[in-house]
Amino acid sequence: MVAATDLAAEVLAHGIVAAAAVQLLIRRLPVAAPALRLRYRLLALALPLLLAPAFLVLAPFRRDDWFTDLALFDSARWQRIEVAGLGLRDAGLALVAVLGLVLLLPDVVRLFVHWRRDLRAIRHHVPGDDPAAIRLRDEVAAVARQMEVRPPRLMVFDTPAAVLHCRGALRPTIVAARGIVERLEPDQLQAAIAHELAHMQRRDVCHSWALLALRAVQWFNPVAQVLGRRAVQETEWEADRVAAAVTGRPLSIARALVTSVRGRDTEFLGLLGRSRISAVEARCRRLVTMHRGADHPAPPHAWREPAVAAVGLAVLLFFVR
Amino acid sequence: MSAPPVAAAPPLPAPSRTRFVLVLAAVLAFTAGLLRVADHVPGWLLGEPRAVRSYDSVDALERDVRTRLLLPAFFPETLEWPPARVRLSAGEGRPTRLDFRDARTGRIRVVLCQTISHDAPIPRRLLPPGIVTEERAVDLAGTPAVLTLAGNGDERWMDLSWVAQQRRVVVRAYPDTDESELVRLARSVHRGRP
Repeated sequence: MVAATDLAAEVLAHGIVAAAAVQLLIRRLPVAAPALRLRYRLLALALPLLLAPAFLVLAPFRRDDWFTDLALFDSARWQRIEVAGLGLRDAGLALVAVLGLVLLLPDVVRLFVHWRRDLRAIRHHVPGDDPAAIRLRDEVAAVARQMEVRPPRLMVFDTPAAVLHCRGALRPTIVAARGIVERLEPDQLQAAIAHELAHMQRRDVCHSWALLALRAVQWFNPVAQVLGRRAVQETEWEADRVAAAVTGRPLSIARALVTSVRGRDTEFLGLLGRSRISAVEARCRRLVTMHRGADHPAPPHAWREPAVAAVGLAVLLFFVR
Repeated sequence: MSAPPVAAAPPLPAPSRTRFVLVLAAVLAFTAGLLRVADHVPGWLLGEPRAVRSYDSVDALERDVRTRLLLPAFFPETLEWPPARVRLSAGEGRPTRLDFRDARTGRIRVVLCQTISHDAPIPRRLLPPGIVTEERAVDLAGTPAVLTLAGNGDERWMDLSWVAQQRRVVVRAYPDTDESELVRLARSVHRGRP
């Protein structure tokens, strides 16, 4: 019978190895397209969850002594080193589990706060004949036509904050605040709407829920939490890339981003706020590079290489316990 | 002021298939190497091998583990000295195994396993278990021991197990060794040479 800690230790070891190998691969190939990088990161997030239980069921001999000699890494060896009467592996597992929770909880809380705010906003949205709502509806329809997507449902609520995002995994909705119309220049507003429609086109709301589920299952794994955040960053970069390609104005997206961040400064507090600001800075730097002519769409058949990498990683992880 | 629209640049050429395979192989090999090193660290810290390590002699093993092994003072002439194989394994209590050959047949007849740091079970890979057919208590000059008759397939053996000087000691004797000889051998076990 395999203890839960043994399985957790294996999932953690697999997570660390997969994340490190994928990061090395992304840097050494290199992989520039955010959409392709996202696939590699999803691979590193999902593989540990799939492989550890699969190996447990399909290859029970991995628990035998002879396999320990064959294995590349066996976390049970670290358990034999004791710290204050506790095996080093279990002590380390407890420590990283706390770290994993610390990384996961703020994102869950933020998501919950946004979800409640959106619900409130949807209840108190401005009437359809409001000038801000009319302008936003026209802009969304124009950009959607340009992107050849169906215009989504639009909810405009009455606040001076600069809010614009898409929500709804089943029924895509763009949620906007009156403040976004007042704060952004016309080209910036078009670029911001193109960014949100790119999310909608790519079903990023569904993906973000799937990502959160993957992170929640691996709550004890800080590497999974960091990977999840990087994956979200890649979806933002890809939406920026699509929006820049549609509008031809990467700098307008960067300006819209800075303006909307300034318009929501109450959310940018503390360490979490600083990390989000640095993420925005990174996006702006990429958009400036895009303005200079660099564009990295995902190549055709972009699943082929991550699939081959997954097979290679699965073979490697077979020998990691 | 808004920036002028720019045309999207052509995509960067994707890395060739050969380059992808080479980089993937290099990344996997590098990661495997790192994992192997990380797997050796506990062994280095605990002063034990990563798997089973063989030695040329009992002296070599004793030098490595910096302690004397418990060895039988009574050593029947039908057994060969020195042991045919001397091994140290990874595991709790730093378990060791000495294999003694029969002087006539050359087959392994007696196996002496012991831990050297504290009383811990001998790992299965060092002393494979079998189906127990009989088990009874035996007195080794005041030390309680357990005699087990066991086997696996056509193979049969006797295991005599006890704790001496905070070490788990197991002597396994294959057929051609009678019980009295095994008990006599076990009673004579001490720190020294036969």
